[in-house]
Amino acid sequence: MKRTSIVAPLLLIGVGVLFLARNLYPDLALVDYFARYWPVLLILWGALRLAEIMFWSATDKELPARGMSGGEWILVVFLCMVGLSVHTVRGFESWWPKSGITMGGIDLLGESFDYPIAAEKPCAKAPRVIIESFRGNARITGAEVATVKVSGHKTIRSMEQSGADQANQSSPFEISGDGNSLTIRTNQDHVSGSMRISSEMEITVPKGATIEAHGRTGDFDITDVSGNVEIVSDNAGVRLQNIGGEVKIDLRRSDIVRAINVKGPFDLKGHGDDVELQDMEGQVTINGAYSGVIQLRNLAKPLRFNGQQTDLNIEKLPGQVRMALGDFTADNLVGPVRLNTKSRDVRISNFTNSLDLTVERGDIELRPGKLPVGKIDVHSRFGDVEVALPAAARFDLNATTARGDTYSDFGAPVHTERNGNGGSVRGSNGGPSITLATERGKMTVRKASPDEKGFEPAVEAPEKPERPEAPERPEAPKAPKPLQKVEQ
Amino acid sequence: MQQQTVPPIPNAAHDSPYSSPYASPYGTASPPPPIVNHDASPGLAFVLGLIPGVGAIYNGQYAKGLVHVVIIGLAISILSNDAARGLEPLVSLLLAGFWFYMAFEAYHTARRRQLGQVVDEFSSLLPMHGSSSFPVAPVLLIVLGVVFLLNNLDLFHIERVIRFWPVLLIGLGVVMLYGRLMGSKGDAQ
Amino acid sequence: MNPGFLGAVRGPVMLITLGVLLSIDHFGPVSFGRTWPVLLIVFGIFKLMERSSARTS
Repeated sequence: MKRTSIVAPLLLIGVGVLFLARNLYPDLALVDYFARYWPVLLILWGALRLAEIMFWSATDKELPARGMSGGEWILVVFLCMVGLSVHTVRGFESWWPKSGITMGGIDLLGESFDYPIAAEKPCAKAPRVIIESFRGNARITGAEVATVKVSGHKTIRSMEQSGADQANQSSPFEISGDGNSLTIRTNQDHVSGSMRISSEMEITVPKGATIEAHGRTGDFDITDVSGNVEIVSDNAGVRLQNIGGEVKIDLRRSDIVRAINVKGPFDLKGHGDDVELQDMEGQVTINGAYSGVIQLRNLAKPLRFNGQQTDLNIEKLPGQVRMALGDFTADNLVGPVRLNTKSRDVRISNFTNSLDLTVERGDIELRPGKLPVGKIDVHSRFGDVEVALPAAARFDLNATTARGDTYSDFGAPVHTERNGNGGSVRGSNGGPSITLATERGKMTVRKASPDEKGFEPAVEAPEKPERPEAPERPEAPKAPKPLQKVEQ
Repeated sequence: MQQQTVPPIPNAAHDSPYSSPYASPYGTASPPPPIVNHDASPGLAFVLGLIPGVGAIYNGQYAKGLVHVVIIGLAISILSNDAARGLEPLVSLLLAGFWFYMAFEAYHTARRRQLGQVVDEFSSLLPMHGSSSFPVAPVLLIVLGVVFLLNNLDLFHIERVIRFWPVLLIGLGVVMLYGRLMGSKGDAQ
Repeated sequence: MNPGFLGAVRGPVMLITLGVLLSIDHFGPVSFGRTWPVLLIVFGIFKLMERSSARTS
């Protein structure tokens, strides 16, 4: 008689018990464990089945034709989808069309209960404001005040009111600390299974404040703060405007990082989607993998960008740069400019000083625009190269293609040679060296027409950062009250 | 058609290899007569097969239906995400080909069920169990896996080789041709 | 190993491999989006082993 596996039914029972326990005893942090360790569950399941099969084979029982039945694989897929939705897998969610599943957590059970949050504490003129790790959105605004004031609400998901009330009691909102250093605590972690509490906060701080924020999931919107800003989060959209100090952002995941008018250095690292920077007066450093659109505009100091497949260094960017998947467009840069990228079409116009460009795969189009032309080094493996030089430019040109056509507008001393499948365009009239090389593609060196415009990176000027729906505007601060413990 | 001879009724006095008068000489019970499944309509299966996964579900092969949905979903997301620069024609071809394969395969499976044949969970039109002496499918899988892995770990760039994908079509044609020529030679003998 | 055994073992081993890759993604440096080809390789190796053991048995 054929043996049937007992593992799948056992697992199903186990999962059912877990869910039931979570419903009946909302305090258990089972979902957190599941969210973190579900891949281990897959390994255990596989190991159990493997052990079962080896046991059967050792005791000479008949082996099933397939180790895992069709139904079991369906269970595996279901488990993966649930697991992914609770704890996203890096590099997977941007790839799979079912993006709806990967956002948020398990919202299948219970309903939401809202509780107001309010607290205020007087402080010094330039306090350090620390926001402890929490789940939810925070909007921080600097103003002419002498207190740190928080208003907003807390949302608790629970099966019934009493559970929510209890969770609310055990997570009192508070601002602790004194004058120079204040900590805003949501105490969400006092409630186990804390993923079901999220807080929306509107925080008003003195203009001179320095902000240090930690988040799990939720956006940060910070405006008009002249101190430093530091944000560390697992998943956050960040919108900054008018920051006087240094900015440091470290995000495991984000949908947008936007900063407008930051006076100090700007350091961004982690993973994300879109990045928009404008009017940055300090050095900008970006390290990480950003899979969306990166738009940079008006950077006064050097830019250092180390992406997953792209390294970019620009001395100064009065103009704009736009990087999207497979595309790089820039206009009005001050060099030295160094760009090293794997797979992008590159278009750069109006650049001065030197340009060093290495592209593995992509078409390149350069229009230096202004005179004098600086030193240019371009290397491509697969892709056409086209450079438009002003007619009066001075250069020492060496443009080669190992396999492709050559074309040149310039007469002597520039001359074109064919060389088997490739060719070269060379010549010098006494200027800095321009070296262009492609292994496979067309090489074009032409005269730029005087009214030729630069590339428009098609940047939609970042409008006023859209604010998330404002619940209430913070009221004008009255005379500072003594600290009130939040009444819940 | 096999001849079914009736075994001589064992005489207790004889030396009979069979311990019981009811033992079949063939050792195993003969299979139950095939049940013709009139519910399986190949035409309906074909039409349903045009919807990813539904063809297989109609034939009761749920896991296979899931696999079909996953493959179609992957192909569409690769195309829409610009993840396969330059490979769009190949992926589109494969997508279209696989789509019709789903429908035909559902049709054939329904036919076989109609004729009463037992159908496996992962039945398929393509020879899944190595008809040729060279294990094409496993080797292909391993090669694909290694190539993609090296590409992902930045040790080898697919772009260099991907231009040659039509060679696969040519190779497939050659293999099929060879198989048929060999097969026809075998039949002639 | 006989091919029946290999065929039966293949499923659980694939599942274990999947779990390992996802664990590496969660707790380790490489994302699943990059390591998935390992699944293809493991499956192919199993098929090869089944094929060759079917021939020798």
